[in-house]
Amino acid sequence: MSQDSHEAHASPSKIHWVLVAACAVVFAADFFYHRHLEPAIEKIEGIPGFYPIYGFVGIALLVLLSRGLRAVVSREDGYYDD
Amino acid sequence: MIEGLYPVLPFIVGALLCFVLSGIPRKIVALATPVIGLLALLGLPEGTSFQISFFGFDLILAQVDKLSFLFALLFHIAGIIGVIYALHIKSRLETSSALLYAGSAVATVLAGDLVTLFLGWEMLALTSAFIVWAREDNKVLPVGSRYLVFQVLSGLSLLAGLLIHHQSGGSLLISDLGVLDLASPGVPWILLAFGIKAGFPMFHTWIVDTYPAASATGTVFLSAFTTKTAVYALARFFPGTEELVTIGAVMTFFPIFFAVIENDLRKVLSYSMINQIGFMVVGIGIGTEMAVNGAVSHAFNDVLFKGLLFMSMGAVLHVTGKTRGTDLGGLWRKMPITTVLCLVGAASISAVPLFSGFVSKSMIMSAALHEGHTWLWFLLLFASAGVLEHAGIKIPYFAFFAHDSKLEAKEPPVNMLVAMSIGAALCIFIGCNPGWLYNMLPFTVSYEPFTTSHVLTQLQLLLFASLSVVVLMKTGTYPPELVRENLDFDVFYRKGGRILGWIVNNPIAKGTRAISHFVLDEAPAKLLGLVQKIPAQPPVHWQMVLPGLLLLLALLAFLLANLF
Repeated sequence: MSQDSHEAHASPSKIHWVLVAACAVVFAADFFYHRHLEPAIEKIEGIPGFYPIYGFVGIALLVLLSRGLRAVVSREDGYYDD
Repeated sequence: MIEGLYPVLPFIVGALLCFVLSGIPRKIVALATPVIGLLALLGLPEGTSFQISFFGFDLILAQVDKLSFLFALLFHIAGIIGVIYALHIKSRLETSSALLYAGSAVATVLAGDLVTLFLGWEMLALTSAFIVWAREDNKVLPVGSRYLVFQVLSGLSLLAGLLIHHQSGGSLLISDLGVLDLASPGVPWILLAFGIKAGFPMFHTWIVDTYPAASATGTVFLSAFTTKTAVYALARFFPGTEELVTIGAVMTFFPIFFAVIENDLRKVLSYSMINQIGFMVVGIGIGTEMAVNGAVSHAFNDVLFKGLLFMSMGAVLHVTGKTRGTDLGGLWRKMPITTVLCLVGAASISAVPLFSGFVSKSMIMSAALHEGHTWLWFLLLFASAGVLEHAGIKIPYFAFFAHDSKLEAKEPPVNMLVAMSIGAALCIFIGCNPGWLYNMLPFTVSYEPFTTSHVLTQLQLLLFASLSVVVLMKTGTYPPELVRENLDFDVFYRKGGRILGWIVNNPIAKGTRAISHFVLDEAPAKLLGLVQKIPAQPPVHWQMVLPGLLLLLALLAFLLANLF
């Protein structure tokens, strides 16, 4: 896929580096900016890097579980056709 | 504005005219219809108007308050965008059905009593089925039939509910009703009716069955009205109903997994739609003023950004004839404007700050926390990341980027681009000026969305979720697009229905044929044969009369039982 996307994007690696840089900036912000915390989830939300970790791990879990779902529900194309 | 005109009337007249006109006049009428409707809506007074007598019922055709006005306004905007998007089509059936369909949605949300609401509800079902069938493709025939079965079930359930409700002394006037209590007679049927149309779990399959199958333009209409009318009805009659929190939570959760593995990009958007309605249902279930405001504004935003995404995929379908991820890719060079407009929709649905989904979704999530639904909040946060994955990244990536499919493509017709641009402009406008929409919401609540903390945490969530997708793709962990059929709940009735069909065709039909042959042909012939040798009656004659006789007897019995 990465081979092909080189043709499609002007410079995909550049876009990826921009994403990595943006991630680094917003992650670092947690150590410099005192966020407003919701009382109900203060302890968890207050952990530096909570939202980045939740987003990253959440998507990883989502994709891995979806692979499991595919194993269960995937059938040949035209399954409902007679 | 136009005063003294029922806003649905232009839709009925416009639909009739569009059916007989053709060419430029038809386009002008189609465009003018929702515009005149909008002007009539703006001229409606607050409170009740247009009371008529109909078969002994006093119907209130229009009852305007903040909630009904907002949805009616939304449906007119969606109607205008949809008509522009479909201006190039030649199908009279689709244009006329679409106008009637939009009018039915307006009639339903403006209804001041349950009978009017029911009539609108049924018209919504009938007219939309013709939009499905209007696509010139034999494959949509069974899809439209399945769609109609669900819509009719919803209508019957509503009818049963309101009859029982009325029989037990309940008022039919919406102004008297307030919030319905699930424990009172008939109300569960009413909730079921709304739930079927809103795509509650297990009743959601008609959405993912129909929306990928209708025409490029048809789906844009379909996606705007039916489910949002149901959301209106839920917000009107069931705010604070605790069960809805659980139902909505399930709706936000399971579709995001199906969306990851689904190949047809319009089907991905259909799953995404269930997920978004889940957020609204959760908000309505929480029921506080902020939660309901969040749900209603999210419905408003969803029609715009989901419409925009369906329009961009419709444009791809119109130009290439394909919507599967496996067939598409690399179209951004040939369709740069469509790509940018699709990305605006993707950013809006992903709740990127300054795009329309940001404020409405966070109102629902804040309300969840304030009402002590901590676990729900974590679930909704997960679902939000999931939305970014399938609607924010997957849709634009597989259509316009990824591997170059080398498909022949160009930008779609100008009218499609104009419609998408209006949708995109509204997404950005509402995202940057939330006050415009939020001043029209049912309740006055102060909510400050653009705090540094909130913008920062949202960016953290979205950026790292994107990073996760990139890492998964680079490492080959991300499931590739495959030309496969993914089973959903509909397997039970689509395969189960065949088993039922086999049972009816084989044991039942053959058995009854044998019995009727014996009783009507063999036995009399043998009995008579003892007395006198006469030739047996031709069997086919009796077989044709018997079911009719039985039906007549059953009808008579039913009538007698009901009359006395």
